[in-house]
Amino acid sequence: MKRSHNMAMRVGAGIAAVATLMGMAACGSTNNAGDTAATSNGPTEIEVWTWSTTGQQQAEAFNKSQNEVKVKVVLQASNTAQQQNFRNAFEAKKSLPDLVQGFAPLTTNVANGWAEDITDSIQPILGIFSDGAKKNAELNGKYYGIPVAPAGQYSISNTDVLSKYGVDAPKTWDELLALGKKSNADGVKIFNLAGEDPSVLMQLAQEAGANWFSIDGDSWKVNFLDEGSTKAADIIQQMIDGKMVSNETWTDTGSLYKFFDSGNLAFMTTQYWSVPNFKTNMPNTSGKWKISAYPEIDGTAKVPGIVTQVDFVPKGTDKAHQEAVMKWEKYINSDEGIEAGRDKASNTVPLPTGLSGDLTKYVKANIPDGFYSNPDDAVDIINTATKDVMGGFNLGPDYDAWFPELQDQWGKAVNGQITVKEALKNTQDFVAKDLKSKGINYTVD
Amino acid sequence: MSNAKSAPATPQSPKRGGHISWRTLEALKGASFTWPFLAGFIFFVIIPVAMALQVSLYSKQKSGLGLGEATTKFVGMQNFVEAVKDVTFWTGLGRVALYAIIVVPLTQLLSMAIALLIDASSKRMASRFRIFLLLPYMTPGIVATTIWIYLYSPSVGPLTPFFKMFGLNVNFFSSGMVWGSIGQMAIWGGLGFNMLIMYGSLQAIPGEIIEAARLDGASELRIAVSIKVPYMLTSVALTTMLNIIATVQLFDQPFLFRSVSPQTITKDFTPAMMIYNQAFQVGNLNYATALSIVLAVIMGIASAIIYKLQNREN
Repeated sequence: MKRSHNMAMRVGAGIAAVATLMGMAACGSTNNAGDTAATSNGPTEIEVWTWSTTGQQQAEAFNKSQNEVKVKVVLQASNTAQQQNFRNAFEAKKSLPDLVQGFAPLTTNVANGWAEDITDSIQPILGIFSDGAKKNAELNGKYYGIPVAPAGQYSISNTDVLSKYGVDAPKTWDELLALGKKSNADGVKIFNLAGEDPSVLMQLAQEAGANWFSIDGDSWKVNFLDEGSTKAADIIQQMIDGKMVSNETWTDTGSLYKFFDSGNLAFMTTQYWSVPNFKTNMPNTSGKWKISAYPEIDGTAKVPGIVTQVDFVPKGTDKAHQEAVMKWEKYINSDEGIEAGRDKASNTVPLPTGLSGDLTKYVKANIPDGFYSNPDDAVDIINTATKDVMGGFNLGPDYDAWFPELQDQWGKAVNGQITVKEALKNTQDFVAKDLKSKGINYTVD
Repeated sequence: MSNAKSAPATPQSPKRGGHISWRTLEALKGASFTWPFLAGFIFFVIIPVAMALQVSLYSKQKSGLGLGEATTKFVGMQNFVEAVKDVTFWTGLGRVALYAIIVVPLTQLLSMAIALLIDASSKRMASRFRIFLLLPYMTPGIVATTIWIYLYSPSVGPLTPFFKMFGLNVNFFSSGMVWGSIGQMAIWGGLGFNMLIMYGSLQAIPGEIIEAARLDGASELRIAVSIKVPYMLTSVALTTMLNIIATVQLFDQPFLFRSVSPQTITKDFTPAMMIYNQAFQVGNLNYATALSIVLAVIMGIASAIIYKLQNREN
């Protein structure tokens, strides 16, 4: 009897353990109406996946500030880890969160069937975002992501180099090329083109008016060789052919910063969040970098910015949870929420680039002392870059497939094995082949 | 019942009235020790392989703008046919095969030499060296690669200035050198493990054989070549096979080196990199799975050939 009692206890314990595990597994699965009903008497619980280390402290502050929504933050090891975890959860069709920090562009999120149409639920908070940010979350007239804007690009020039060649900070790409022709004889480079990072080409193309993907009815129009792209390719090709560029990689940061700090680099384009690292790693040239606007290409000032990571609400998330997500978004984009996300180690708050309204106080808080030679101009230039950053550069339905191909082609182009135009042509051919294999309609202009 | 009747009724195997015999019981008891392994093998090898086979028989297709979930359809062996015809995949495989032809024998020769040297030294010294040489093997591949990227760095690493002292201008990240840089890392990482396996086989040599050889006046070199090396052959075959498998699966080193030598190392540089790209970048899990199965079959064939050759040697 005792033995059978023990057995019954064991079986009972086993069932309880399995039930507990199932309950835990179901906890994150808020993508059905049943969960909403279960929480109808209390706050709506939402699960947020992020790799931001300040997400938890924001959630705690938010949960204390109100009792309608309870946020549970699941910290991911990295952007890549989050991407893989989400893909696995999505394939398994269970335990999906209610909000995912972006790891892919908007169209990729929609093309993969990951993102829910949140056009209705986002309306109450849409006003807090800038127009550029809104464009980055909209596809075919519907919102599939939380509006977001990249940090606006601007330029910094080494004042020692400028003085040596008697020029001012380049205002146009032509002026930069002219400086390169002078400085190259002394081994001073005008730009760094990392072989793994074609973002310079993409940004320059965007500034020049390129549009690699656009929707035409039920088909994609693909054009990597339009007028804007060709202009951008020509500028970069001149730099490469004239041997005016360095090719330091971002993987070997020690070598990269040593070169940046050597006085042999005249110019770079950058964004606000890179500068604290420059300040720390470039002691010799700190205080000698003059900030100016992003170089003009056609006589008009434009600030390129391509968004490759858009936060989204996973497909199947019900209306009640979508609305709860919007309350959370409203909070984290408020002054109180931004302050709750202050990084304790660096004592900084990020610049909320996608918001409308005056961001001057956040811009000021993100300008490190002693890096710019003209710190008084920095506030205006970064403010303008943040407000005017372009939006809506569509990356198509297969960005994950073609971007590594562009990286391969770009690596060859900056090393002179092929031209930049050939790199664009090869990437376009790859896109056409990939879209065809996936059964997606397209035309190549 | 008929078995029970026909079985010899000995005291060791009392099979009466349908009872399990003592021998069977003992055999089952013994076999029960394999259950933890068997369970793991079924759950983590057999079932995933079966699932992979299933996934590889399907394909996802979209329509229109490609927005929204894809439809999955059964395509039979189409993914495998494409894999067999995929020039990029086979080029990558050829690349790693060529790399293996150079790196694997080098690793094995160095491991054998070190194992023999340690075997010839005192036990205390051997113990110290074993741990020291195992350290690279214990270091995770990604960490080791990051460290070596720093060491190889032309600008801040110590190796470039070291070679400059001898008038050599070496760029470890250049197209011509990148394979050598990766191969050197692989040898550094694999040496300790191979050495340990080979050293283990040396410890199994009966002491009296070595002693007899010494009494017959054989030199240490002669003892190593004529006695120790033949005893090591089984472990050499095993480590060679493991090295070949690891080389064909080459991933983390070229994956990180891609940033420093993008003009040479492309996204499909090795078969493992191509499978990763197809699965996690392109999102074509079905084709990536088919490629994985093809790669596994190739490695299975290579392993079978090595075992066959080894048996012939024996």
